[in-house]
Amino acid sequence: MQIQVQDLEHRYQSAGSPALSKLSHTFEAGTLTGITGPSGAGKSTLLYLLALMLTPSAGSIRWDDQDVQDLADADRARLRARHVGFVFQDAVLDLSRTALDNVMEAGWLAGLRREESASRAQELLDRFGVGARATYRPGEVSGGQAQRIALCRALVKNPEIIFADEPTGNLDSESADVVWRALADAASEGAIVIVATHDSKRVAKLPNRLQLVP
Amino acid sequence: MNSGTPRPGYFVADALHRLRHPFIPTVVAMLVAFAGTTAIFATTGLAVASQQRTLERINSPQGRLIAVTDPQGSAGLSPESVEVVSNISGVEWAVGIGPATDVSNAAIPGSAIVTARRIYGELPPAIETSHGNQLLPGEALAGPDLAKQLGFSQGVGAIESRTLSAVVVGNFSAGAPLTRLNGELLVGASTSDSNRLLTLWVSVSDVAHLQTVTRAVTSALVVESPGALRIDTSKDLALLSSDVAAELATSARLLVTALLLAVAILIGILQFGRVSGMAKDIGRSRALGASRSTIVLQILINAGACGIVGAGLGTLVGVILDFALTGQAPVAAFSLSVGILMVLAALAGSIAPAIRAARLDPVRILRVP
Repeated sequence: MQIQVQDLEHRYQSAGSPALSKLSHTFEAGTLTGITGPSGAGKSTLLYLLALMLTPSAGSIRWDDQDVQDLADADRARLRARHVGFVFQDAVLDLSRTALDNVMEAGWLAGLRREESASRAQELLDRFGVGARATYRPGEVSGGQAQRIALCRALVKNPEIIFADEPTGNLDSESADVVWRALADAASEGAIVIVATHDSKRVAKLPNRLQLVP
Repeated sequence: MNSGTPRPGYFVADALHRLRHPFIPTVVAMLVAFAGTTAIFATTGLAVASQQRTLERINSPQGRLIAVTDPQGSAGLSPESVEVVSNISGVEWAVGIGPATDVSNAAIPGSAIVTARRIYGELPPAIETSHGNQLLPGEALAGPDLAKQLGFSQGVGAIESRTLSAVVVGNFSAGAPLTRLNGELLVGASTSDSNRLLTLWVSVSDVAHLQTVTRAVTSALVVESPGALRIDTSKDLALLSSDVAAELATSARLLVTALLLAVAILIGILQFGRVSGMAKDIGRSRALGASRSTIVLQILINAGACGIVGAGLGTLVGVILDFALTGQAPVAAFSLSVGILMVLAALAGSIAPAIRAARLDPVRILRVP
């Protein structure tokens, strides 16, 4: 799979200047790309555009050979459900559901069967060291564990594309290592992994980098 | 392979989860539907029941009777009219009666004289007999105590007059509206004979149709001089019946509409509050791949489930309440309709919140400032 953006530009309705301006880039399968830049440079905006949660003001987004920027909401949602895993800065877990149910939700929305979704979810929770917290609710686990659960949620449907928006911003270095390692593993297994971060030291070690400027 | 579309099981599991989380709005929504349903039963249900009883009283056998009489005996009303009129839609039964004839026991000269009349058509349900509802020509039934007056120790025997002879085969007892026949003998007769009717009684199935059926009966009669006939009906009762029915329909519709509207608005307000409280969950679901229609469906399923539970319990309590207060349960169609309408009101009230939920911008919700 490949994501290609051409002259991509986005302007929020209330803002005078564009949040993202004239970006052209290609993201290849099997790569982990780090996006850096100061606050307001458009890192998150780029992720949301690529994840089809925003419609660009100008330019194009192609997933393989398909122009996706003008698709209807239902088609965008379906593509997102099938192909995209998303890791947010704060885990954004459903506080009323257990860790297992939180992970399963992404599988269910992708159309996985309940049993399949549950077994994959438990497998991932075990892999990331939070298997014993499967029946805990987010309020009962630490921030690092919550982010690992969110990572499991992003991976449960074996997505071809993973977006991570400051995934380690609130984590200690040990938890951050776990997250970065998982994202690198996903890329080595063939996924397109795009991470927006302020962590320039880690990005400096990546072969694929994208520096945004305001 | 991921289809990108949630399976139906997801919606069921999600609906069950969202009924419990958050619990209080769910319970309040159920209570609103419950209270609305019970209120309908406690107001409209009771009104319907009491007005139904009024209608039943109006819709009495006497009120449903059309009496076609030939007072001068000159109209030439043919017994064939009985068969013709019986086939008119809305006619419950029709029976023709001939002029009175004095008869006595054929075996005892100088025995007591009683009044006999020819009767045409099937015996109506108002006449209970020891002999079934078919009286053949030449057979007769005696009213209460008449057989004894005629000296029939076994209740059967022959009667005769100059123009009439028959065999009494049993007895009868006439209820309303034909109680006036109880002092007479009824002699079976063929509707094709050449005698004339004195009276044709027609019972309509519903007093509300009295006027229509009366017009149909009048035009269908086999009669030589229609102008000589007198037709008596309980026209006022029929008009009262239709007035009561119309008033019932109008007031019930208004009340039910007002209550349904109130329930829809209250549930709508509750759902708006719920949607605001779960904005982050909605944003997360959208980011994970839930489409707008999935969000709308989730909200409506939740509202529908609250409506079903609330309206179901409300219907149960309402039926018991009506039964306790009036002694009879509301008709099933009414109870079912109230329940269904209440669920529809809950759904209707949730449409706007569901659309609002679907239109929430996930990026705005999820972005960390």
